[in-house]
Amino acid sequence: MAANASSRDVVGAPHLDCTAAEGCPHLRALATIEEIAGFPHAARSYAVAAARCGSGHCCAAQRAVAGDNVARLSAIALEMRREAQPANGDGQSHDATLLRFDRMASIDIVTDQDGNYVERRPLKLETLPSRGDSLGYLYRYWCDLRAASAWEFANIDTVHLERAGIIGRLHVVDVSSNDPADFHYELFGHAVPVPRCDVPRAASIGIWADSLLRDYNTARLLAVPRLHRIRCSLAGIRYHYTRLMLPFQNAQGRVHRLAIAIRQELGDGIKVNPSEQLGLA
Amino acid sequence: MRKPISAAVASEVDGGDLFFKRRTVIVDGPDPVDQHVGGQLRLRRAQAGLTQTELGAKLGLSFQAVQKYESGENRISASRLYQLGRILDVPLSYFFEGLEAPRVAADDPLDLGRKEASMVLGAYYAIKDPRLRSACLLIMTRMAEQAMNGDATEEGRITE
Repeated sequence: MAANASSRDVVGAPHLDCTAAEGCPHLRALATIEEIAGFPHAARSYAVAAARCGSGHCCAAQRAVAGDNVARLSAIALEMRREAQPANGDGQSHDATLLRFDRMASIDIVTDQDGNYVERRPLKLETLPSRGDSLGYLYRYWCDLRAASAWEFANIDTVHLERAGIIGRLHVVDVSSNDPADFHYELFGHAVPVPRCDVPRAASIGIWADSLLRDYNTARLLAVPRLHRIRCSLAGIRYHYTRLMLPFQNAQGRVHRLAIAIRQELGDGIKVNPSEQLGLA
Repeated sequence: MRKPISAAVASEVDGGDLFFKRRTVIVDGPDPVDQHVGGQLRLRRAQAGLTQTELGAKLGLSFQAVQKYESGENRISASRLYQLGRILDVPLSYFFEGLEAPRVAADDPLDLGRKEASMVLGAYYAIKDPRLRSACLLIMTRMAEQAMNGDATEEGRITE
């Protein structure tokens, strides 16, 4: 079932198009997070900075501008993104740690008649590396919040998200409704290859929507973080990523938001030759 | 005993004097000015790339305390604001940038009207005798009609 090398084409590879009509997606994501967290003032400032990027003032260009708060804001965001990138060369080899792959027993695989399949493998949270991993960083940050009984979304610190390098691969899902199927994305990671949909159940492929709803509900009801390795083939594109779901409660102690962080794995977002899809080979 | 004030943001009539209503975070939510200052603090902290924990460590506070400052739940004292300005390398005025200047009543007829309306209502319902209340209402109605017809003077007194 290996994909044909000639037909491979990475889609949705992470990139920042600051000149897009909506402005810098990174800063827009920060604006959305601040808005959700209840900081409209900070959200407005980020949105203004994002719009400036969209008007042709790239983040990098703005770094040279001094004395302008908004410009500095944009520039610093870029700086943080760079710092969040994994180190290359020798530095990486010194910091490299052996990753354990401690898998859990149950693997869930569902298929449909169109050749789509979804494989979900729950992983132990302890397997997340303590250093150099965006999901591991984010999980430890969440644990700190939880330990301090401050795991409300309003308490989230965007500086930690920047340091984790997770902006762009972070969804925020509103799960405040009593209806177990009524979730919607308040923020959809702009660097995630999976096609965007406003609500999970609007996903065009039934097995995909079902698996999302099931996982989101589990995280919401149990109010515990969940880690999955996902391999799936949907409409001719293969996805492979690790997903961390972190619940956040509101002031009443009820889980109302899920922060879903994605780490892309080898082969994520690769187009698959139709003849190689499950059920058609 | 409450102290009378000359200009009130939220006022009530009590024996002819204006009083501040005591705000509480639980009932009224954080004060908008505190929220603004907290928002500026949050922005500047993010610009400086400091986490709440790191800023808290510099101040000798927990990250929860910084969270409460940023949300406006806790008011930042003057000495703390000075400390924050030095740590974040901004002048004190930075924390108030973008905040609307306090309104002067004379410059804002709408605001003045709201305060007067509150006072008039308070005074009106303080009159126990329903006949007197009706008479007052009649007088005010007549005066308003005349004012609309352009018969009122600049001072608001009736010229007749």
